[in-house]
Amino acid sequence: MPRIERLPVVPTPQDLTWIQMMGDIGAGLLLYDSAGQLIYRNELAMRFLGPDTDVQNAAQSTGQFMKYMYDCAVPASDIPDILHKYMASRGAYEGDFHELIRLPGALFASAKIKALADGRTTAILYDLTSLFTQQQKRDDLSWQHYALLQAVEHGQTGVMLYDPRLNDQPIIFVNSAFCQLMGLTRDGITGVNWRRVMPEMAGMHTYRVLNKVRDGKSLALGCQQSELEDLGIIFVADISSLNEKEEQVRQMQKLEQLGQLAGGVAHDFNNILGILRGYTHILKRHLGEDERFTNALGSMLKACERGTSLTDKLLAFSRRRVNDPQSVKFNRVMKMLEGMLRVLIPPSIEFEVGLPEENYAVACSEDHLMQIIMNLVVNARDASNEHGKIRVDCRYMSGMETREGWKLADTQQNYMRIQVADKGSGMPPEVMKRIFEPFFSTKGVGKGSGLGLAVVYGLIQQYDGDIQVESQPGQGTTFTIYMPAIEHVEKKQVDEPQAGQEADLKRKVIMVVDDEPDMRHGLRLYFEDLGMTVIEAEGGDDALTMQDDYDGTIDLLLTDVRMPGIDGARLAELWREVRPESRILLMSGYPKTESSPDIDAFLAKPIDYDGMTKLIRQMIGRAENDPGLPPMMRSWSEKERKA
Amino acid sequence: MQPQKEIALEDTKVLVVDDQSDARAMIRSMLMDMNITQIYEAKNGREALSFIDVAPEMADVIVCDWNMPNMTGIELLRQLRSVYPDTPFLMLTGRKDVDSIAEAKAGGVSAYIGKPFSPQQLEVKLRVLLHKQQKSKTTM
Repeated sequence: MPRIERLPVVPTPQDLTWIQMMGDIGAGLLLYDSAGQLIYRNELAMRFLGPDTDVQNAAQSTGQFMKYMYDCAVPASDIPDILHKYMASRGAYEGDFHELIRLPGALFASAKIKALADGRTTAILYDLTSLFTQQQKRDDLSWQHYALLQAVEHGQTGVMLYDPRLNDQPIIFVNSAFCQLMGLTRDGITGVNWRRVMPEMAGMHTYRVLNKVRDGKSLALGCQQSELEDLGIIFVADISSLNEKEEQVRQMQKLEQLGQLAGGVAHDFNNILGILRGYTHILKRHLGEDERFTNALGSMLKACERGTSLTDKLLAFSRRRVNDPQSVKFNRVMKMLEGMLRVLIPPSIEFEVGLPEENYAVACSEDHLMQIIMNLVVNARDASNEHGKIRVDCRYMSGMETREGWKLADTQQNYMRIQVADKGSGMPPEVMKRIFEPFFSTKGVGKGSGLGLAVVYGLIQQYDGDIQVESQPGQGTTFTIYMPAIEHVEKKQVDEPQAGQEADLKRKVIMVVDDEPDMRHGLRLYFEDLGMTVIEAEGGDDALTMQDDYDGTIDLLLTDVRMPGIDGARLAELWREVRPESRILLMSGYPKTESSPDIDAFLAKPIDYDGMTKLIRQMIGRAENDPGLPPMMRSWSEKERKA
Repeated sequence: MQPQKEIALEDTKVLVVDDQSDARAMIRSMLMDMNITQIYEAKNGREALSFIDVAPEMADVIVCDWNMPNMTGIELLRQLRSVYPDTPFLMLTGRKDVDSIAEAKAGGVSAYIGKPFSPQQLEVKLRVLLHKQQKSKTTM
């Protein structure tokens, strides 16, 4: 900075007070001695005068500066109305030498030369640019602008505008949402440098998420800054709930993927187990009487059972377990459960069950409903201390009631809301995030499979319900479940096997359809061992062809569901038409799909061989004893065979 | 696990031969329900024969009525078999007497469906014919 401080006379200590004041009110100050030579100038004056040497020189003496003011005065015609008014109100045009001038550091500066009592003079510079620009903007505000302003004012997003052209980049506007989100009052905020309000922002174009705590609640604010040439904008939005939702979606996707993985593995594993079990059964039948093998075979079968129960749990989590959707009378099951649970919960723990009025049914199998509630209550027990409190609260909710934030928020379906709450140890967020993952457990090794909540989650999803959890460490945990509720119990027509109708399977004909050769061969051996005639087919089309070529009666079609080409369900549908006399048994590790035709029975994989045999005996027995079987609309080809 | 050769029923080209337009329309809609899109029609045996003459690759399967003026189904079958012994030929008919069946068998019919029939019966027959044809191809 050139030649400033070499001043002939320094300001007196008395001067310092008002010099200071001038600076504080934003005025530039030049002080001249009685000879008219510059003896002091403040920071602001320097900024207004700018680095230009001509102007700097002109400011060196009162006379020159007055001449400069005269030369550079803004012509009256160019002075905006608002500044005219301002100057008039300050008495600018009377008495003292006062002009509105342009300076390198100020578009419109009010400059006033004043004689002091002791013969010295002073020049006071005041920047009116912002006054002008603000007023100008206000004047230009057409109705449209007004409307836009209103829109911004009433929006949920916080908006701050500042003027990047001015040195201190003052805030020129904030809307009420901005003040609310930032926890500021609007008074006195305009004119303040925006950086003082939002020091975290870097200027130009930035996006940052600021984490604030307001009223004890943590807030995530998404802040976006855009700086145009003549306008700086900062948007602030509360993204806390968005963050939460994103987290929820991520969590759901993760569980979904895990489910697919688990389901895929379990399905393949089930098939392997099925083969193992089938052959073991055959061995047992032939070798079972030999004591050397009895134990070994028994252990093998037990191991298969254990494998099956594991895959069963995995499939439940992945929502692919074979199940027969039905409905249960809710209160009946809950009352039964209450009794069972009381035994499991130590008497020192308070246990309450709140039930809705009678006559509601829930679309869920009884076993699964019990499994879900049992799991949650046992978890609550484990989390509770000696004198804990567990409450199960059930309430019927009509489809009209809001369920914001839930997967099923938009449906009109009626739901049963079940809350299981404990006052136990609770859990930190990082645990809460993962509790539905399979094999995630906070219990010690050996104290639970880590599948409990994963199974609960899977089951609930399977019935189109939803589950959420709230927890605070030290304050307890609440699980909230929604299960679809239905108005009246409609027992699905299950062909309940009746005793005394079991048929002899010798010489019965069975068609076995499975794309897995091992599975097929195992079944063939098993059925042949029972004295049956077995026809094997590797797929749907193959099965249709086989039956077309087979002249006799086929008593039973046993088909896998998932196969390349036409699947088991479609095969059953076509089969029904050409072989109406056959009984149809579908087997799958996957649940019955909606498109399943009217099959006679459904068999879960891995196959329980004894159960299957009993089922087939009953199916064929019933066919034999049932005079009301639909008239044999035999296709022409069958008559052709007989001809 | 042996991957099964998939029979793409929907990619099959079917020639429907029937003198009654509403019968043709009905078969066409049944075929379309099976997602078969390449369906050609002929009004009688003679028309069918000239179609096959010009574009034999357009008829993977022939679905044909028995009774038609201007060359019946059985006449068409006999003529066809001298040139195309393997093209699947599905005869639709109301004739269910033993003599007719024997006659059709002697003529080389691949399958026989008695009227009235259901879409499923038709689909089963088509699947069976295609499956057999594919099997014989792969074993050749």
